[in-house]
Amino acid sequence: MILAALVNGLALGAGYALLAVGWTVLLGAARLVNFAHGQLYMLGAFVTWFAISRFGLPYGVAVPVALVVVAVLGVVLQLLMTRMTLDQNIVNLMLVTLAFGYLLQGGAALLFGGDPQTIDSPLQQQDLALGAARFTGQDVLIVVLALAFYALTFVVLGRTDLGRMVRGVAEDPKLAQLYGIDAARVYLAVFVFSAVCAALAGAVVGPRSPILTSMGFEEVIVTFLVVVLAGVGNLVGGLVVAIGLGLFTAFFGTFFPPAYSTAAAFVVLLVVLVVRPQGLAARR
Amino acid sequence: MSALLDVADLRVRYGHSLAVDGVSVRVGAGELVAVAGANGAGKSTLVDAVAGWSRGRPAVTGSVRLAGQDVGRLAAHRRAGLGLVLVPEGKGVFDGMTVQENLRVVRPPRGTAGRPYSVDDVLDVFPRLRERIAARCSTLSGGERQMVAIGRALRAAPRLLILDEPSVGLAPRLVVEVLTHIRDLVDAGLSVLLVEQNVRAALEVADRLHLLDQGRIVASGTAAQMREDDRVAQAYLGGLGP
Ligand SMILES: Nc1ncnc2c1ncn2[C@@H]1O[C@H](COP(=O)(O)OP(=O)(O)O)[C@@H](O)[C@H]1O
Ligand SMILES: [Mg+2]
Repeated sequence: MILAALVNGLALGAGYALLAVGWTVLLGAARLVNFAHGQLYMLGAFVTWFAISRFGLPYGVAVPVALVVVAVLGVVLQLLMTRMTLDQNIVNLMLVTLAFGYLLQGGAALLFGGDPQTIDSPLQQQDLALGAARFTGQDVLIVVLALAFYALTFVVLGRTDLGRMVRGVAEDPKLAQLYGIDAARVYLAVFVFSAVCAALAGAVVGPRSPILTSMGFEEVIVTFLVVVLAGVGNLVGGLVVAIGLGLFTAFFGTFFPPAYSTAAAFVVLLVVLVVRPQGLAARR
Repeated sequence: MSALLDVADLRVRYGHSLAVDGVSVRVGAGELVAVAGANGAGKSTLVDAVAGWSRGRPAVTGSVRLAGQDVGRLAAHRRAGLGLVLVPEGKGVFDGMTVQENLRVVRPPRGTAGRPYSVDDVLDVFPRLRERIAARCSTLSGGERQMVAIGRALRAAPRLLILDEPSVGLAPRLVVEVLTHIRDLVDAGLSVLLVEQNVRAALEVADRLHLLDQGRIVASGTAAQMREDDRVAQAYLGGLGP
């Protein structure tokens, strides 16, 4: 039972990590918020399901299709918000993205219906074992993708021109203009990256359990938890906290009614914020 | 004659207050033109508007031409891409990045810009930065930061470099050092518009100087003429003459 919770927690945490990595960059590096993040996660799952069940595409093709659809949506949303973003109008951004989240949810309910659906991934049927631990190919995929995306983000932010531009815009968007950097395009890139990460999380975590168009708010809350606990913008901390939160949720769900696990996670958040306001994993 | 930079009848308003009131300035190729004036005269507002940049929300009218091209409607990053590069007053570098990163983050210049400086070229201009190359800019001295700010501007291959009080807050010895560097760059072919509170120092290096007061140009001339000008002498050179 302990081993099952451990494996389940790892997969869950890796899913949280994938969900949170985009937000970490968005909030930490670009000082942007997106409360439609959970709905982009939902769309990632539902477009994947739709592509499989309606068009008969294999899972491996349906996922990239979902990413492209959500990326296009991300472009549209960010272009609508360019002005607010450049002015760093955080309050309006919260309201607009929240409204956009509701619109996506309503649109998805119209398009995909209100019934729970199942994403048919061949990896979910693939049972694997390592010693006494049993898991699916889907679990492996989630963990591998989460690690790969963190590594990619870490390298891009730290070592590439694009990463330097993102950090520059984050520190001082006005000054960045004088370096010849188009802040609006950097914001667009970061926003779309974040949207694609959310969609990918939905597309790969979705097959583990039935999906609903009403899902998404819990995912935003989890993301928020991870980003705040890790310390805003702390990538490595985000990965550690996400896995930790996954394990916490899995173990908590093993011994207590799972319905309380989000509340319990918030208790942890409150304690951490009181004791270490700068975040759990922050260096200073 | 068409100058490299031709600013005509520039007016800049912050709400109802007119900070720059009909200023025309030209900078020729290979020329160093200085703008001096008291605190609040409108120097920064003027050069920021030329670069299409501001931390506030000014309303700008008038024309800005770079090598004949009207750039007055372009965003600051586009003007930078064309070689109209500003080093603003105050914070001019990314504090959270190293010297090297600041020099590397600059967008590569377009074909129309001036001489491209590699990171190494910049280090040749400011050898002191070589040993600080891996240091975070937040740990640098004021003079070193100013060198990084000018260095990153050179990386953008400027045709016209605008410097807003590069010597502010520096020790007198460093003021001379920074201004001498700038003069060397001009002698190597660069065109510079320099804002400088220290009129005496500006006159040492500038070809021409404009005196700005309450948003208007009140005196202009070559450095030699301005040294003789009574208004300049009274207001700025005072009894401290050599
Ligand atoms: N962002 C701003 N908003 C409103 N007024 C400003 C702003 N920046 C400068 N001013 C005003 O414009 C005038 C010129 O300021 P500035 O250009 O900074 O002068 P200088 O650079 O010569 O010291 C001053 O009266 C100043 O108060
Ligand atoms: Mg000024």
